[in-house]
Amino acid sequence: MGDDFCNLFYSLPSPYAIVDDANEFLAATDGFVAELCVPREQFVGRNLSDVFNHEPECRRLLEENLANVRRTGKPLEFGPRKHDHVDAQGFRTEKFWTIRLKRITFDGHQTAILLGIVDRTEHILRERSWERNMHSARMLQLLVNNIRDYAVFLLDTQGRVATWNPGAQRLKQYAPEEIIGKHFSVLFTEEDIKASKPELELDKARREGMAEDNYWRQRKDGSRFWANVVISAVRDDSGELVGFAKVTRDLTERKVAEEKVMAAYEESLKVKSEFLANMSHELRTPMNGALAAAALLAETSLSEEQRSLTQLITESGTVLLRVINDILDFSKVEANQIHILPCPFSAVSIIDEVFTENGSITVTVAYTYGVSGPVHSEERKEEPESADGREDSSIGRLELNGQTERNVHSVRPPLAHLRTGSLTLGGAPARAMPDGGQDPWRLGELSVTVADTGIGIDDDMIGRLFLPFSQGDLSTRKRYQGTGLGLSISRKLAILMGGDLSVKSVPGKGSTFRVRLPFPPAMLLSPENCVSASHVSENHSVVRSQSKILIAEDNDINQRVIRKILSHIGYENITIVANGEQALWALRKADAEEEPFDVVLMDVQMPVMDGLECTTAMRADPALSRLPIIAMTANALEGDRIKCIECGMDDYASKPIDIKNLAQTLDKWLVLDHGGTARKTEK
Amino acid sequence: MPSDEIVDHNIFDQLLEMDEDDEDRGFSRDIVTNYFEQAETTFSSMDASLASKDLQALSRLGHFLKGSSAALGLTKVKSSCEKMQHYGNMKDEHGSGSLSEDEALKRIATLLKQTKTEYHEAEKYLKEFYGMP
Repeated sequence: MGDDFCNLFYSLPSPYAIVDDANEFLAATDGFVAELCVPREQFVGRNLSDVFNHEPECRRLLEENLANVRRTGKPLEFGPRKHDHVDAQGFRTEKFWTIRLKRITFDGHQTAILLGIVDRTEHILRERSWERNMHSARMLQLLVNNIRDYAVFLLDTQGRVATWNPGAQRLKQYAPEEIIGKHFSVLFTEEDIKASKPELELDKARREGMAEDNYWRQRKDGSRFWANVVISAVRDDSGELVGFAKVTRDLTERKVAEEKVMAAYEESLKVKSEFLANMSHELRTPMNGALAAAALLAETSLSEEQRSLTQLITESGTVLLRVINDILDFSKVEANQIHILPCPFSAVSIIDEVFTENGSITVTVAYTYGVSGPVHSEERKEEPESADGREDSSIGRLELNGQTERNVHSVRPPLAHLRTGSLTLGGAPARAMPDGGQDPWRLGELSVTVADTGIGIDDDMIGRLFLPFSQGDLSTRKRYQGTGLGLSISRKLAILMGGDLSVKSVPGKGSTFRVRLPFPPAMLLSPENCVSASHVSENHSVVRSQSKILIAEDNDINQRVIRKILSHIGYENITIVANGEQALWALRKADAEEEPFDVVLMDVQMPVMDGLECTTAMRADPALSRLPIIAMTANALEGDRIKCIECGMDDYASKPIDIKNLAQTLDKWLVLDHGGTARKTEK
Repeated sequence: MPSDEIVDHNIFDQLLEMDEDDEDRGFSRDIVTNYFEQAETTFSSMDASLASKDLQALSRLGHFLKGSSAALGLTKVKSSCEKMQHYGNMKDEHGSGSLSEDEALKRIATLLKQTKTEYHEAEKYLKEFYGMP
């Protein structure tokens, strides 16, 4: 070969090499050198088997095909084949070559083979990725089509259904041809469409990428199912919105199951509390019997040993009775059987009583009505002696209204745990309303603080103090007496009365317990109006037969039903009118005749003058301003009740009338509360 | 249809408790008869008010029949009457939102038919219960 030709060949950018009959490289183009990434001098003049020594398979194929070409004289091509490529920097990559072989003749007689490389790497990789994509698209389609419990579908940017899977068809009953192209709002209930839910959902997905919600969805036949719906914005590689993906899950069964579990749970709680309440009663009766017998036994003539044993029976019995009482109270609180009723009582004498019973302790007490700090017991006689406390009608006592030590839980626990040290009781001034308003329950606040200098309680134990059945220190619980129910009951009672019970403690120094209760000043300041336990036990039937009730109700059937119910409970002195105007007339007439009514049962919506107007008129009339009015309303909505109370009514009984509730409500205003009687005696 | 869906037995049994004679059921029988009359009269008034498009009257009548239906424990009639009360006030069935006059009348027309059906179911049940003709 001439030099010029050689130089021309060398400089070709296409990858070609010439191999002689002994498989030795005679020449190679720059393109070939670049493709092989081996310097020309390292293979030109060397045998192919040496050059491809590290790739035996490649070498074998080359040798085989070269021999083939030599034998047949026909050009051939093989590959593409993977070739382990190491570039000039030593980086290893994968290349795919198709190799072309052609027999050539030069210098008239010499034969050799022209070896060309076609780099197919890019083509192969593209093909592979396309295959992969096709495969994954196929799998995806299979996946989506085989999900039968989820509706999975796409919406276009306008919210029209673009794809529909069998899950969607099963859940929503639409066949693909019925739904594709339709706006997805057809899947919403009428109310949700009115509330613009479909638009809001798309909007949220557009803005935040995703929206999730649980709500009722509508099937083709109009039936509904409770669903979890996730909607995601679908964007292409450039970030352009191309549509939305929706996944809907039917949660109806789960919701039903959840509701069942909740109902069973609530039922079991109730059953437990009811059982406790019943059991406590069953336990208390024989215990009281045993104690009474022991007391009688102590009265008889006994030997020294017998007396000491009787004493032991009494003491053990008393402790046991206290435990039983705690359990009874606790279960009542837990079963929500405690009703708090407001009634006047004297807080000073009760607090005094409690502390006197617990030994000679100096009591410092202060009232919050206009007093700005603790006052000593000597001075307190000048302070108002009554507060409008709230009493628990079912067991006839109030936290601070207890007649015995056992009734004052909030005070007892620190006493029980008091080993050494002193105890102080203090009061704090009333909190002012932030807006300076006149919230009646905030006009006065009674705050009782009991501090001891006992062993104190660790921080991490304080939280457990209020849990039922636990005491401050479990490891040393034998040091303390009691069931661990006291504080839990006290706190619940305080909360029921609108206040709270809190504690702070320094281990080794002592603890401070504080009860805060919102009490307005009592309306009736004379001591004889203070309710004591004996008043509560007044015979209900006497009060019932003497009470005079006015009913304002426009529906004649309801008139007859309520008259019957009242007479069934024991109220016979009943007058019925059909509207507010007639009610006012009847009330004024009765007042003029000095036979006033004791309570009014007032329907809210009546013709001519409704219950709210009538109440307003009554409250403006000095003769009727304090007569208890009980609303009878079918709307159990809190808002309606508030409306009734705001316009001056005192209480409400829901309609349809429930005998037990009505009896309790009337007892509250006629039997337990002395407002009615007091009002009469004032005249 | 189970009777529970027609009558709330907690309420209805309370009425039965008021009967002095269990055989005769004088009080409750009387109340129920009285209710039938009241319902028929009220339905006539409702028809008339619907014809004259008097929404206020329809709301009032709905409230009225709601009260006695509730007292007897006729749950379905009661809740339909409550809806009528709301529609009459141009509110939706829950007493919120606002409806146009036409929409309210349209809904009441449908509801009234339904209420009557529910009433007749209740009537049939009660008549069977009391052995009334």
